[in-house]
Amino acid sequence: MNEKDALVIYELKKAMILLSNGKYYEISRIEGCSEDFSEIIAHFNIISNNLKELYHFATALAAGNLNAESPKKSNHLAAGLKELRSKLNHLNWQAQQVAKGDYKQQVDFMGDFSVAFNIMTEKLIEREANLKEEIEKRILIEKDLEFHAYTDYLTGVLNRRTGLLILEKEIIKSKRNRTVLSICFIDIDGLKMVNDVYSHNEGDCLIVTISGMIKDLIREVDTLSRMGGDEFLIVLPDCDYDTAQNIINRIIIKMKEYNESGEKPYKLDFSYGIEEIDSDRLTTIDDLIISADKKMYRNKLNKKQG
Amino acid sequence: MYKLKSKNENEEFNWTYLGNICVGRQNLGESMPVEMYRLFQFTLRNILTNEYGAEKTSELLRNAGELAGREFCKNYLDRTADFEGFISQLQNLLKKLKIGIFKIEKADMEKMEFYLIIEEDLDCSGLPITDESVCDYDEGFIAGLLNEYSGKYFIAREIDCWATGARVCRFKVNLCK
Repeated sequence: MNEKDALVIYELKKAMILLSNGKYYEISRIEGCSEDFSEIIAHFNIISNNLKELYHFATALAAGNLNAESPKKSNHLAAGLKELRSKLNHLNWQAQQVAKGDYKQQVDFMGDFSVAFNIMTEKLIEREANLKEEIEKRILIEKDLEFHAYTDYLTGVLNRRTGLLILEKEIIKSKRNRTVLSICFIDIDGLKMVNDVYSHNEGDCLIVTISGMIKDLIREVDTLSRMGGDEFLIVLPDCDYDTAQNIINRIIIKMKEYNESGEKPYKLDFSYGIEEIDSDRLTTIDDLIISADKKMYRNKLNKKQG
Repeated sequence: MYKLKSKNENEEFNWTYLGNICVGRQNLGESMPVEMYRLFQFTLRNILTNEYGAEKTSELLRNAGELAGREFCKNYLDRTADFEGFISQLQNLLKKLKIGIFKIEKADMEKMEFYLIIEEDLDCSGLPITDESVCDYDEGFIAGLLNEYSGKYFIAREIDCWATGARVCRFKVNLCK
């Protein structure tokens, strides 16, 4: 060993102390040292550089920078970290897939992290299913509430409140557009007798049958609502008296056919009153109903006397 | 009839030529150690390299891998699945068949550029470091899978290998324009 070799050892010792304190140090070539010691310097510098690369790479990964420059291929010390980076990149991709709604993503062979991730995706699937079920239930409840808010429970036609609201709207529309509007007030005949003789269930059946016939034969733009008990109101937009009468006649014919079939031990019948609304005259809903009701009553009387 | 030892210019290889292994190996079953698989492949590679050179051998292995990838896709995978579904099937199957643990690092669907990894790869995991990428067959296999699935033409190149000191095989896959 010559003087220069001793210098190499000194430099090595210095460098190793610095390295152990986290400081990277490259030993410069020392002229005159033996070949073996030259090689030692060269390899030490490689290891030192590799460690420096490793440190920077690990720091970048720790900061979440998965696009950090990779250590050189010849830096075999970095293999584990490169593998880790690949796995993190894949996890990143998986997280993106989960965010898009693919809850089938599973992480394998990563110990506790696999367990945690896979439980998370299972819970997401469960939660989504529960949420869907909850939403479907609420939709059904809402539909049910809506139905009951607007609909007569027995017949399925609109209830009184909704019928009158629609009438109010149609009156405004007909005045604005100067179109004709009619209403028809209907009172089922003989309901009390059917209730008394055949039972209230049969009475309900009568109400449902007649309202069903009316519903089938009015136009699509017309609305049928149950005012209460055995009374119904039809609102007929863009419809004059004669047209309304034709519609009622169709219903009466249908009823006659039904009666002739002998399906029931009693006859289906109703009395009615049609009122055509004059858009030039100020009319309230109450006035209309009263007027139609009077006509209905007259119709009932005429039938009794007839 | 496809003959293993004839030049089959007009007859394309297909899966049925692998025969019925269940029938043929009723006692020993369908599995075999990776060590034996490597023995067969590496000795074949060795002779081919001696005969035709390293580059030609890599090309031949790549082409064979591409053919295998296409057949694998036709036989095992649902080509009508969307991309995520296809990848999911592939991952599960490669794991089940113990070919490797397949993962996506990055997928750029616009550029059709992907970075894929295979952990515990059949060909190289556990090899000593020789500073060479050795997974030519896998490059072809991956390209073959994607080519058959998409109807397009991809090239896969290994950028990290166990034999280069990485602990996973990383592949860059590009669409050929």
